[in-house]
Amino acid sequence: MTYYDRPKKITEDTKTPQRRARKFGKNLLMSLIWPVVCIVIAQILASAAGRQLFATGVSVRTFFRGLLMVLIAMWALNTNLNSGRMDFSLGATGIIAAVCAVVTMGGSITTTQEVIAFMFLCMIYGTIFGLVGGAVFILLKLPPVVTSLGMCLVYEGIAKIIVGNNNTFSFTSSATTGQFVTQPAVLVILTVAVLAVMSLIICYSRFGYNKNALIYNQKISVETGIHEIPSCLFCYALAGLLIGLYQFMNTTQLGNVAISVNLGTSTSVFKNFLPIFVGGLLAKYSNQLIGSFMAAIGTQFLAQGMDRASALGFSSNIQTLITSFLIFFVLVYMVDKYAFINWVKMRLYLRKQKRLGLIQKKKKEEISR
Amino acid sequence: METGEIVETAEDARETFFAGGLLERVQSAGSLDADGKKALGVEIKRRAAAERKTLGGKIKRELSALKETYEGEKRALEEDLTERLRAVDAEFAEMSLEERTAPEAVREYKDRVNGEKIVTQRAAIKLTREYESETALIKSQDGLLLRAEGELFREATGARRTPGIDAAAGLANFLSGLNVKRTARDKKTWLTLLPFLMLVVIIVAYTAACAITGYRFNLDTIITYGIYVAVVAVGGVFIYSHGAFDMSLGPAAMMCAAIGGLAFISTGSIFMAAFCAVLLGVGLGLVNAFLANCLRLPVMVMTLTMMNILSSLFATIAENQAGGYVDVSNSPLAGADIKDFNSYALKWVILIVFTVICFVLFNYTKIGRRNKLIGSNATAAKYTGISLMKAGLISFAISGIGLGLCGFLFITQNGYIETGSSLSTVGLNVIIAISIGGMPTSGGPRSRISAAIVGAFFLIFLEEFFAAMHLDIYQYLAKGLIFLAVAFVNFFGSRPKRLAQ
Repeated sequence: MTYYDRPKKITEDTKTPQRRARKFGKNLLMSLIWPVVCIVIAQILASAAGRQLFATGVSVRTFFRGLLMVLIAMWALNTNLNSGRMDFSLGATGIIAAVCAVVTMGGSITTTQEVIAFMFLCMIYGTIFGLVGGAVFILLKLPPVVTSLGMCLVYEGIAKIIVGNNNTFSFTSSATTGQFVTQPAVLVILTVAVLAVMSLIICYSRFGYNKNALIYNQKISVETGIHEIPSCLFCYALAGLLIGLYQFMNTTQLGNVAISVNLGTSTSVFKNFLPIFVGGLLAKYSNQLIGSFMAAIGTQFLAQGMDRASALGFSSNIQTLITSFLIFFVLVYMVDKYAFINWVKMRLYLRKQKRLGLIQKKKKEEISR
Repeated sequence: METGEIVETAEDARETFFAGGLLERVQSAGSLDADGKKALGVEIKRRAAAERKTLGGKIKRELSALKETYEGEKRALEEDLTERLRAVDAEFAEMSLEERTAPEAVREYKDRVNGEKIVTQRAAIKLTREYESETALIKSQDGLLLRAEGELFREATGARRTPGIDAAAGLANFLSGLNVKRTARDKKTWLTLLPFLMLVVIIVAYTAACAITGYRFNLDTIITYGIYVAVVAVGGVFIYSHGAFDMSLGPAAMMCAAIGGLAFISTGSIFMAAFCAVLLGVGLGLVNAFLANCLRLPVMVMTLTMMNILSSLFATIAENQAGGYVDVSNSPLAGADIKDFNSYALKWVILIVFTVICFVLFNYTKIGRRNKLIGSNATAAKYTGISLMKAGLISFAISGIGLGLCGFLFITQNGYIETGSSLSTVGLNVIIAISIGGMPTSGGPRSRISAAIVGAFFLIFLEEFFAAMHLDIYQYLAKGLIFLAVAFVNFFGSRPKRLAQ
């Protein structure tokens, strides 16, 4: 019998400082590439239109408020989406939470205290309605798309009954109401709070661990003792809480709650698909939270750049078109990236070969086949 | 159970009912002239009529005899069960009180009693099934006689078809197989009938609401909007049968309407308008199919993104038109208003023709069978040799035809289209309509074209019912609750144990 030396196991010891530094550098570079590219594109667009990216301090504050809203909406949608549950009812949950909060406040949100109370009420109602949506999903055991479509219609219907035939639900507001979320201190507190809570929940809690296990393989996770129902309920409650906060920011900005029916509420949330998918790609180089944060920064800068270049024809419709095509591009890369990369490599190779005159047209066809 | 002098096949029926030289004469009918053949035909009919007269009484006698035997055997089974239960009781009665009251003995007693009952139940079920099949056989005598009559008549006279006799034979066969009692007890029957019953109920409720509140019976809106939803939903069934959702149907229909209208303005031809609308619909369907099947993008996200793209494209087209909407009412080339072509006849013809074509494609061709199998189990379908890509392309293309037709009808009705018009909500209504029509949104073998039609008209009647009751704002909540309830019923048997993903 011949004995062979066992191959050396790759352990932490083999990770030399150089290798670690190289890996860190690569991760850093890949994490920053999207926001940096977007900032450069935004700057180029603004310069081409002869404008500055940020004209005033107000526009900076508006930018950061928008960034925070994108982050919150993105995480709210992603809480269920990455568990394989598309939630159409998220927008409607936010709207009904805001409507109920306005009703509870008596239709008057003028002072700072009232605004803060309104914020907490939106979050509480959002959590309750999120939980209700989750409970319906668990009880009926229908596909999540079907349940969320039904719940979206139900929530929109309830909001419509409360509001009546109007398309907006107005309340008494003041300058304080509109400016509350754009105050730097409030923005910083909200951003830090949201980031801290989300990082705690996703990265350092039992819920986050169980959620990731369920995402990986539901059957095995359940059989190893992870309870899927509490996890699912928590996901819905968290999504409701976040969308309540999002709706609070949106409502205080607009001064009313916009009521939509026939799934009109869902589009406001689904416009955040791009940062979700880009965040999913970037998460490989850091973690889910940092990846999505970087994606949101990049997307928001891109939107800002296109806004500033509206004189060049970047209307809101064109912006939507560009964003949608970017989503397709990212999706193609995500779904079958190796096929896509190989296709790109082949094109580049063929171009090079053609430039060097090494292949004729017929040969090129053969290679591509 | 045994039945005497009962024929089981059409061959037996020929020999039993037309014996006595008539069969031989039919075999040599080729040598007869036209009058001879005609006379032979008349004789066959006369013989069949005479046999039918005697057959009526014979069937009644056989059925009553069979019923008596059946009831007797059933009674015997019950008596047998009583005896066996008595024997079990006696066996346990012999035991002492302590032995009898021991938990193991109690359990054994219960098991034995249940066992005896189950054996009798199974025997009763077997007996009932035999009785039902023999009843059906006796009842089918009339149908078999008619089939034999038709065959002999054709052979004797040289006629290619005997539609009257064939239809009567078909009806008799259907009636002989019909078991009203069992059908009424079958849950599946009621699940299939539920959407139709719901439609009838909502129509009655709407009519009553109109009568009570004095609301005008708005048939125009019902037909017009019902047909828009129905046409798109009928095409959409091909996609939904895969278990896929298409969220971009509404904006796609709007784009088709806009392009169809612009084609009318440019060419002045109504046919070009219809052609361009349908062509764009098919094109959009093929793009979706390419993205979903060739690039393997998740259909839900892909169609949602496509919805945004099409909405933005439409808004861009509308922005560039005077007034901010696409007005196509008058074409200088045609010298006519596109609304002149609007008529109920056109709408109904398009809906009926498209539905019939889709019905045939879905139920009697490979396309439908493939789709149902893919919806049931895509992996199994793939490994049985079905090209998912080809099936997807065909389904999305057919759905695109529906979109084009809907867009064309909309533009002939209104003459203009703007952002936020009723067509934009067609996509959502299609999802709800298909579900309410009794088709599970996961597709599969229970997919059916009728679901699209029934669901579409139910939805419109529901909206109109709330309008008639002056409770418009409650319609959205009702729609949501009905959608959830019907989806629950549709999925009831196939819900997973774990939470769905």
